[in-house]
Amino acid sequence: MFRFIKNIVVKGFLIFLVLEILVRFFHLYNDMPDWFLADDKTYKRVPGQEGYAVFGNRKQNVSAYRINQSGYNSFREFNPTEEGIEVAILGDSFIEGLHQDYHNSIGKKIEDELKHVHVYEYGHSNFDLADQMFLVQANEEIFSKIDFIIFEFKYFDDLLRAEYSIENRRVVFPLLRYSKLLTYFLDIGLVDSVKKVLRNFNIGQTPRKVDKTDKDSLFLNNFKSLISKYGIDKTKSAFLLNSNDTNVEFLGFLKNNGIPIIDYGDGLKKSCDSPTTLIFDRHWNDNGRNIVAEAIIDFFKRKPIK
Amino acid sequence: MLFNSLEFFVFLPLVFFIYWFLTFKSLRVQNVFIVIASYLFYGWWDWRFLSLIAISTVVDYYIGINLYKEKRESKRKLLLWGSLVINIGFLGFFKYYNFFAENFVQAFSFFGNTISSRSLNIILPVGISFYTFQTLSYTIDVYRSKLEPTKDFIGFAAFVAFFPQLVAGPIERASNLLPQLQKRRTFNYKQASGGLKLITWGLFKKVAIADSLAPMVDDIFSNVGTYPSSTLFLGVIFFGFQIYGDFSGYSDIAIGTSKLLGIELMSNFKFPYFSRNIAEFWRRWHISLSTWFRDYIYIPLGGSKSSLKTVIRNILLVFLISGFWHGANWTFIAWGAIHALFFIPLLISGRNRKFLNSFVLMGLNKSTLKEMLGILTTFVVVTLSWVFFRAESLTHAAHYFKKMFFDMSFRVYNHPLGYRMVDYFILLLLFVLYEYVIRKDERNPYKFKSKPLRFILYTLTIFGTILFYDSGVDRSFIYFQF
Repeated sequence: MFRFIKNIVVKGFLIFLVLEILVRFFHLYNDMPDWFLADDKTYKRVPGQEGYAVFGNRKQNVSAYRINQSGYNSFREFNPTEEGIEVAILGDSFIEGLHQDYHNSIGKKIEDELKHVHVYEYGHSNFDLADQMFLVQANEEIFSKIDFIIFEFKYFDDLLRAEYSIENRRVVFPLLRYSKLLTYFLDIGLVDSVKKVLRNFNIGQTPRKVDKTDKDSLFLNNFKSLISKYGIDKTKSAFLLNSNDTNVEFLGFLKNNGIPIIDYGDGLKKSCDSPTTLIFDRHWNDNGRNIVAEAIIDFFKRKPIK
Repeated sequence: MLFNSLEFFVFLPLVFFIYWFLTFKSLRVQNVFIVIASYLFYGWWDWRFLSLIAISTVVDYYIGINLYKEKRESKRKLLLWGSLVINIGFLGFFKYYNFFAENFVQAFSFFGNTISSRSLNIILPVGISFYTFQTLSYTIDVYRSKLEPTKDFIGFAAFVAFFPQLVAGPIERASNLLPQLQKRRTFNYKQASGGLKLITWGLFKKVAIADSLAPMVDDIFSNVGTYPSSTLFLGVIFFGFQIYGDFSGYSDIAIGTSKLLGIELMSNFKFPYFSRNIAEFWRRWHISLSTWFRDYIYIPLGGSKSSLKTVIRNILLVFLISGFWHGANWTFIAWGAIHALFFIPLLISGRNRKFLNSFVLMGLNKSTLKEMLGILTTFVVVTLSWVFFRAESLTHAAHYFKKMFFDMSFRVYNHPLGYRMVDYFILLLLFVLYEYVIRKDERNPYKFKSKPLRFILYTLTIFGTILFYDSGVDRSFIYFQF
């Protein structure tokens, strides 16, 4: 019996080491640039990182990223000037675009079409509208030089808060993450049942939840609270949204109050023959990103920035 | 509890340590612990159905003892029928009630009569077909005086509920399993390490082969109308590998787990896709079921010692019942009929006993090409018959065949979850090649002299398993539904 247990331990450890090497060699584990809490009390990526973001089992998605000096994934630095025309797009992972090569981002697509415009993509995973509006307020000087600000949000996910506060982020199982093999296990869901049990003991990350039954009035109230707290310049701002997923009363409120919107919902709807999201993930694929970029380009063609 | 779940990976080491460190001194304690562990294992899925296992255990235990004591044939027959009615009664009610009720109504409406019938929302108890057949084999063997009944109730309860093979076999014979449970087990290094190797290999077959192919098979079979024939061919070939990986993987894990507990179960699969004809396929596929049907249905009906007409009838009957055993659907009966159709010509020409106990492709010689042709033909027949096995209904199967053969077209198939298809082709190619290499011993998938080579193979097997693991895939075993 002792020999059996000893063999399991020794061979198990050796197999673990070889698997660790294989997982590292083939870069199978999910990989994203590191983040930190910046002085403006918002989360950003650590500037200067370059590499490949890897998602999904067996590297389903591999895309190059470049974190600029402002802490966002972009092909360009963000240096707004009084002379040039700059557009900022704020949003979550859909705008951050780690699922795509940063050379082929929504911003780049817009710049290719509107030659004279520089697009700054202030995207960060999990950013909701409160994060975005606070970011603008906290960096007033920078954003005052930017000619137009687009806030991207998903109605059901991004209106859960009435004001910004720092949400403590915890790395789930931080020690385990030193091993890329264990990271891979976590990422592919091999230990999902353990995570489920741990969540019952309030260990690990819990998703944001809405408990109230009347979500629509909650979202509208949150929105009202956000714009009154952080302010919005209707002449140089717009909200990027999918009208098909957004409550009609909410859209009515935006219209009645003269708040501009950029709606990519119809574009997505028309593209029923070819998918607009990645197969294994709900993020936009290249087709989806083209549609969103076209909606923005179309908006600026109709209302050129002065 | 699934073999491929994290719960089982906690459960098994716990059972192993308690079994060998705390209960090893007494046979009775060992068996009590096996019964508790087995009931916990089964109850993890649905504790309510433990009562069925308990009833079967009690009934067959006492019927066994009384069958042995009773000398009057009429009374013995009555006891046997008692066991058959109770066991098959449970099986019939839980598995076949709705099938018979629906078909009864349809048959009446065909003749212009309308009768009302109520479909019951019955949950099929996992593994009911397996443990029912296992307990039946005990009673029948005692009735035939081939086996002395046990007086050790706990040992018998452990035989009925033995968790490694409780829910999907191998369907053990009392003559093999019961004597092992009636002797105190002592730890055997070689046996235990062999068990671990089989578990590793079985997990690979389940996770990397079966589960990874499942989303594609589900997608193709659910969208027959939208796919070209090339994709439908791919779908049924993938299903052939899926069901083999799923079921033989389960059997390997079951046999391996039993070995860890010092128990040897019978082999259930012997590389069936290397069979050179259908008869050989059935000596290599789900062996515990096919031998069960041979011993308890085919031979009592007269076996092969009757007239040719009777033998053909017997074969047909066995295949139809075997099909129906798999599920309460005409598709399974059709599947059984197709196999009978290909088996009977072999029987008539006397070739059904060919390739008995021989290994396939043992070097390049005159018969190599012939053997390869035989393997290919058998694979094609078996694979095409899987359409019936996988289809929801006969209409679905007919539609599948129609599209596959009469709507010839080709289009590249993309994985529904966005994975690279080439990964799967490489995986299956390597799998077939490796199975060919190890084809002489189904109980030892790592039988190589070189220690480093064995280590590399263990590592690669585990690497393949985690590489193709997908938490989003339904991980239950196909044969659980039978």
